[in-house]
Amino acid sequence: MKLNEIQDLIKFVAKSGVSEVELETKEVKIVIKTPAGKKPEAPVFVQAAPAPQAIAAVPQQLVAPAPTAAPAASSAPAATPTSDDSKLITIKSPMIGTFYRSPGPDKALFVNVGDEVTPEKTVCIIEAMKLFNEIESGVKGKIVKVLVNDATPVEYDQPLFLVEPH
Amino acid sequence: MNTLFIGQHIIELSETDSTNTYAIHLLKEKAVAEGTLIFTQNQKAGRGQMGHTWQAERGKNLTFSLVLSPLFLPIEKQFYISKIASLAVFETLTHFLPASRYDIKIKWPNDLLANQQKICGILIENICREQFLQSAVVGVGINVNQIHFHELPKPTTSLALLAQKEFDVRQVLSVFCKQFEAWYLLLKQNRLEHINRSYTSCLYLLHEMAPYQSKEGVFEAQIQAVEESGQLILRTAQNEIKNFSFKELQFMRSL
Repeated sequence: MKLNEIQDLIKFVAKSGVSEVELETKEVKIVIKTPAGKKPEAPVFVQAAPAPQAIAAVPQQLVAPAPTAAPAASSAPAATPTSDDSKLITIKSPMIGTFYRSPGPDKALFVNVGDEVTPEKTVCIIEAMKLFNEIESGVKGKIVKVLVNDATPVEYDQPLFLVEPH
Repeated sequence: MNTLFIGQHIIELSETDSTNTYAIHLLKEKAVAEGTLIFTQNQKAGRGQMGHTWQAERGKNLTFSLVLSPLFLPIEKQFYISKIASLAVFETLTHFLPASRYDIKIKWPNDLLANQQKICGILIENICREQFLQSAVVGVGINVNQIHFHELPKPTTSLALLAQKEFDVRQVLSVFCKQFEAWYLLLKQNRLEHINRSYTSCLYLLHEMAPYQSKEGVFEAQIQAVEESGQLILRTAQNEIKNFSFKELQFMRSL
């Protein structure tokens, strides 16, 4: 499958309004998801099949230039705009692990909805294999939503907080 | 300290709640030189993982935190910090307790056992900025001269209990710093295969059939190796290969 064919497919899915399309060929498997109830946005997940090397470079190119959302290509994945029509910034998990909102069971939360944060402010801890990672906000703004419950598992790149930037 | 940078700058506190907490606060305030060591003879509220405590009798044990800036290390490879810290403690212990007479092992992921009893705990806390490991704080607690351990859930020992003599806490620290620096420089040189081989060879219950518990129940298996992510690779009695994260698996062989 050629790159322009994949791009056309994404454009087609985005216009069609369906929420999810999965396509698997011999050389590549593509899953295109659009957030339910929202304007179709961007491919969330593109995975190359193990065999072909020519395709291997494709997924990375695809994730950034999406049909409707156009995040700044070089900005850190930890904090990228969610879409054009929303000014909110998503703080995402840089790793697989367990999400904690406070430094210990009886300790105060790092942040609450409504709190102002600076880029250096620790917003949560993600524990991975007994290593405890304090995750910094990366942006200046106000926390408007916490997307994950305390002490639950998170995936790489999973959205954790929505921040209204200043 | 006979090192290039590890332990070249030491902040000694007469007492503190936790050297890790102190180090993290310091890092949030200002730049801290790599290799800086926070050391106290009286840690009042030592921390283990999430809510667990680490008790140390005043002046008897070695409790310290080491500050690193491992910006060269991709976040997904952070378990290597755990591996090299375990290896450095392993070599520190074998320096004082010769391997011919004492059985020193690393219990995955990063506990140290001497003659099947816990002798050291490691607590690693990182600060992630953007997609990088801005700082890592390696907290180490080694039981050195403490003889009595009360109300601990697992059998615990110390250098003094095993060797029947007292040790100089600062000398233990100095050996650790030298060992840690050597392993840290290997990590910087990307000598991952060497680190992996060494770590695996020190593992408690390596290639031994032993009981484990996962969410599917208790089963018999042998430890094969540890993934780059830190996951433990087991070969079950039915010859299946299975990977487990720290929270997904319990060792059922009692210490």
